[in-house]
Amino acid sequence: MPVVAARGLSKHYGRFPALVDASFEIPLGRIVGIIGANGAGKTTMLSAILGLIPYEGEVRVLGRDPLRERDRLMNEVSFIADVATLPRFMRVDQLLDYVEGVHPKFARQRTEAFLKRTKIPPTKRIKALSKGMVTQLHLAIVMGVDAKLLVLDEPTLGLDILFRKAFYRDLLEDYFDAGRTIIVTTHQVEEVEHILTDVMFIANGRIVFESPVDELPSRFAELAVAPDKLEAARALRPIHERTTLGQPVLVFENPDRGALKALGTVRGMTLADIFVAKVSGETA
Amino acid sequence: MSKLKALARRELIENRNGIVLTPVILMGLMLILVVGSMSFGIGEMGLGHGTRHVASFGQLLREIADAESGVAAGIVIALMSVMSLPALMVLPVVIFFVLLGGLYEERRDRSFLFWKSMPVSDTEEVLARLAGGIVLTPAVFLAVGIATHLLTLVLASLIGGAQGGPVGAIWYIGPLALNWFQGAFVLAIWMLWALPVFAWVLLASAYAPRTPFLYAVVPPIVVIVNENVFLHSNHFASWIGRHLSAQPLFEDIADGFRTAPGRVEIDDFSALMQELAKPDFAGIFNSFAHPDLWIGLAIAAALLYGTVWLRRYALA
Repeated sequence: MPVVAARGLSKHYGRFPALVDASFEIPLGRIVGIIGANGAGKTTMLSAILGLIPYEGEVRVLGRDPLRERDRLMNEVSFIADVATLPRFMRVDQLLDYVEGVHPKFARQRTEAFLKRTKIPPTKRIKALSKGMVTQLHLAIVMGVDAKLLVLDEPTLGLDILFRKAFYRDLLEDYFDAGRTIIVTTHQVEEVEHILTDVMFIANGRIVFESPVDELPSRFAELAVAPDKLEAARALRPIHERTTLGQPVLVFENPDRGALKALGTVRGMTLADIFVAKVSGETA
Repeated sequence: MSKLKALARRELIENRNGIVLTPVILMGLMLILVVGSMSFGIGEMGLGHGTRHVASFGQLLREIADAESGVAAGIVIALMSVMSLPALMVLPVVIFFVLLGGLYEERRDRSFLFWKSMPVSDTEEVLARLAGGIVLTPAVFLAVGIATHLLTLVLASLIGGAQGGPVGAIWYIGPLALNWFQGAFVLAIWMLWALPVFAWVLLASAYAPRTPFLYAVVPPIVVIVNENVFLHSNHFASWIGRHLSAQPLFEDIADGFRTAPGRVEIDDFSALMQELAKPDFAGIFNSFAHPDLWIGLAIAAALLYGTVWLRRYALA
């Protein structure tokens, strides 16, 4: 059974199609990055998966209907949507009391062990913590919950780089294993690139591309081409073209590498570059 | 710790000022007033027919000790009831603001995204918010009231004793405990009467995009004004007033006095005090015989259903 299975998932706000006919499956043991511009539909998709909004189409998360069975689903699913959503009026220890009271799969000692490594005082009120500390605390709570699926929607937005790096390092080292799946959206693609197993690109409410990360290097290549060979390179049907420091750079999907090498310098691509090439190609 | 306890504790922490601090301050002020008057002499005091000069609390204790035990118990209960009056009058106001806060604040600071990540259903969440207002708040008010009453007895005995009065004269713990017990039922049934109004407040809290106070208060005022202008009547306003103040409940309790054997006159002090010392559960439970109560509960159920619907489908 896949962790998440969606068929024809759509969401309209009035007449605006925030998400159109999304179909996908996410198995256990994956870290899936959902990448898209602002307003592309990432948060809408995650909200539907988490049972936070009504939707059209069919979604099953761990075999359950998220909208109708959100409470039971949350025994197996954790999420951090947005930054600093923890209740500001509570103290850290009171919040842990609360989670311990309502969550049957919360192991408090795991959370407390993680908190000991931070500078968060357990008797401090959450409103007195910095934004970075609140995020650390939220991650600590997530670490204490034995969930099968963790959904992270821009969990580190606006935090400084040290917090962001530590966040993803902790996630990978102390949380992720073959028995869990993580779905993450973020603007800082380069920060999650190295931890993802799969990517999904969204543009204008549609899934435009899905792939395991380890297939990307063989699938995409960019060619820095000499101006006199530009037309020959264009004949090989690049999916995207740009100019860097006056030199044309063409991006190819499933290229004939031998043919490319004859025209210029072939380079591997970062996830961010692939996203730009793929999405601007789709929307052009 | 169970789920129920965790949810109740959250309500208590979020609304500590309203739920705990308010009754503590009000009862504390009354305690200071009573103890102050005990310490510095009471002065003129109406006790039975005409007023008598009671110079000190010691003397008051002697007066109470000389009275029939039924009357004495009534005097003690009357004193305690008067002490509780300010807190009782503020209680609906506190409940109003407790109910108005939770479901609005969680959207304003986006903490609903955290609450929704916990295995707590929207129905449980709404009922927890409701219970924070209509169960937890009156329960804490009652507990603070009982503690203040006991403290008053202790201080009255100490001060009255020091002034040479009989220390044991006011320790009518039995009738007093019965009065507290009865008070719990009065509060509970009061809450049932007021439930449609409180459920409306909760709905406003779940719905209001901003300023939930206005969303709770303006629509009823619009209805009241329109009824007044076009129909020249005030049914809606009096309906709200009746339910919020549980008017029929208190009328039934007052009727209990008037229909008591021997017909108690308000100016017959001894009889009134004796009647006060007896519990009147028949009057309290007569509320359930009013169709009004049941209609109000049905309206409350519909409003609560709407509140759960809003929290489940209309967030984000």
